[in-house]
Amino acid sequence: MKQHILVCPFEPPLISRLQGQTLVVHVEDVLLIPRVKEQVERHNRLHCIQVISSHPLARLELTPEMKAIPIAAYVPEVGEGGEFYEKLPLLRQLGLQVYLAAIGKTNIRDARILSSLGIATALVMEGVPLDWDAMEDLLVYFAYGKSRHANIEPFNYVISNYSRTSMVDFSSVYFDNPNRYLHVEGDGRIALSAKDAQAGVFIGELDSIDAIADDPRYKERRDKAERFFLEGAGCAYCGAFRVCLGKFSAQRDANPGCEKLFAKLMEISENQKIRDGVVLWQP
Amino acid sequence: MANVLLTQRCVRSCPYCFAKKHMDGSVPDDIISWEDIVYIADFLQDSANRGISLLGGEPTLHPDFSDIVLYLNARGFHVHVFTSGIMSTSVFEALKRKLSSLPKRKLSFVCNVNDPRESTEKELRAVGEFLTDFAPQVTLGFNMYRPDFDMRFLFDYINSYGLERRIRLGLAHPIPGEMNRFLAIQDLPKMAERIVDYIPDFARFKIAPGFDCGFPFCLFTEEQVGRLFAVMEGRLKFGCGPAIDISPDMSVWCCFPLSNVYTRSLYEFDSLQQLVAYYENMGKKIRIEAGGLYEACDDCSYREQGLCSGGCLAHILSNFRTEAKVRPEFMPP
Repeated sequence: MKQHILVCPFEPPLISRLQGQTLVVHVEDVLLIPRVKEQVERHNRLHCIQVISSHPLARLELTPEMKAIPIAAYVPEVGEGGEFYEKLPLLRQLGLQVYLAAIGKTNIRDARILSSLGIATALVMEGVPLDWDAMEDLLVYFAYGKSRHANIEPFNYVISNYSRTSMVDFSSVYFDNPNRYLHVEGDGRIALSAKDAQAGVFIGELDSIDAIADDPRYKERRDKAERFFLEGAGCAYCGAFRVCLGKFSAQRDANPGCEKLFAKLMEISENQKIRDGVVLWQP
Repeated sequence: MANVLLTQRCVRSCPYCFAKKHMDGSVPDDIISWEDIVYIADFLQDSANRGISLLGGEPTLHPDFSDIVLYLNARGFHVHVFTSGIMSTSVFEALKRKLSSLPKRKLSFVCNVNDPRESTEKELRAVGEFLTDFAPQVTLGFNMYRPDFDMRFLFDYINSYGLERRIRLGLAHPIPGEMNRFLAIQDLPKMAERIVDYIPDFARFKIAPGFDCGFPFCLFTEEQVGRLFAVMEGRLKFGCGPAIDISPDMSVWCCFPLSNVYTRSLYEFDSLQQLVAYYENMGKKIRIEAGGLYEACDDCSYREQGLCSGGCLAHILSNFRTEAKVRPEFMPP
């Protein structure tokens, strides 16, 4: 049986049911973080607390007692400069990764600023239009920037997990890779992704979690990338498919540029492997 | 320390302005981007440089001015801002709200002021408000572009607002190929006499003047140099070295007056040390051709001892304009 990390809401009865499991717990209220940690660590392992907030980062009521807790904060924006810089010394001490939607130049720009200030950041590449050029510029900064800076996802994930012989699915950065994460609702129903859970698409119950890997819908989702080759769809012919897995196929025609970004990401990953001595360079 | 031009726009139009060429050619959205600010911070940090000067135009015109200061502070830089002190109410309020609590070790200002008789009431009021609120962090800067300047108002400002007891004295230099007002070489002795006249005032008010670049040693007698040394608290220099200005489009030059001539891109250099070395080397080559402002500079013992660099390179280069074009690499356009 594959041991998944379970992503669930903060509901104490549910957490009690999930004894012995590794959990990602999502909350909207930042002030719940210490309680979540305390509750989860009684009988479970805490992978991370996912905060999904409508407030800007600068307005999150984070406190020094949250220092040892891994926090993934989904925020709409960084927020007002004065407030942010006042909070920065605390943010730098936390185990925090800030998730920003990669729409518009401001968040992409702010990801660079946060990274340069030592705050780990992740771009959520959803919605349209995605600014591929700005993201490529950010990627180059992340990979080749002169000074030390914090990680920027999903670039760091792909570069760290890149292999010449297999595909890399950076959905894990967003806790959305069914190979690694399953989403559990308060009533125990299981979904393959956060989007599925929101849309009410479930594939089983907690009681049957051990058999989930045999479910055909699970297998289909797990092998989703291979369908591009069976169907001969456009992304199957893309040189960067191995690191993007056709995630942007729906907007590829209207907003091309993903190929350039992911080809650059592959090139950087390849160079990194050569630098690390993992791949032999041959003339 | 590198000077970063946040914008080329300005609120004033000073006749001596070294940056006039850049102001005139600038477009309204000619401001530095955040991406470039991060690049510059990385570049300087990588060069083990922990100080940065923000200039313009008027740097506070950059819409993110306060956030840039806070960002650079957060990156561990001391930020030194060159401002006219003239800003709109909204900009000033934002400045007070975000920056007034920063200590002097993190943020300081040079407020470049002109003789009040050459400023409007509105400008004077704005400067007054700025000096009132940021007094302990402000050093006054004064640019001399004519020999009959009057500095008494500077003493009044320092005493009434409680500013840093220093004055940064700048010489208005010629921009090769441009028409800005500057102190001609023949006017320099008069300017020097005027400074010497103020020595008793500097001593009486305990205010230390400091020379910006390009002052020749020989403008003063050795007795005068001794008196200046005393009022300047030992910080007397007669140098002219690369100041390194970085413009919003990431062009670099060694100082404003020479920005017409030796502009490069920051991306061509790996470190500030490399950049400074490039411009020092350029300066040396020119000074091999002409030791300084005067013929006598070639054999001058002060210059040989490194006590004087022979005056401003822009002056020297401007003299080349009248010569045959046998050294095209030094020729201003």
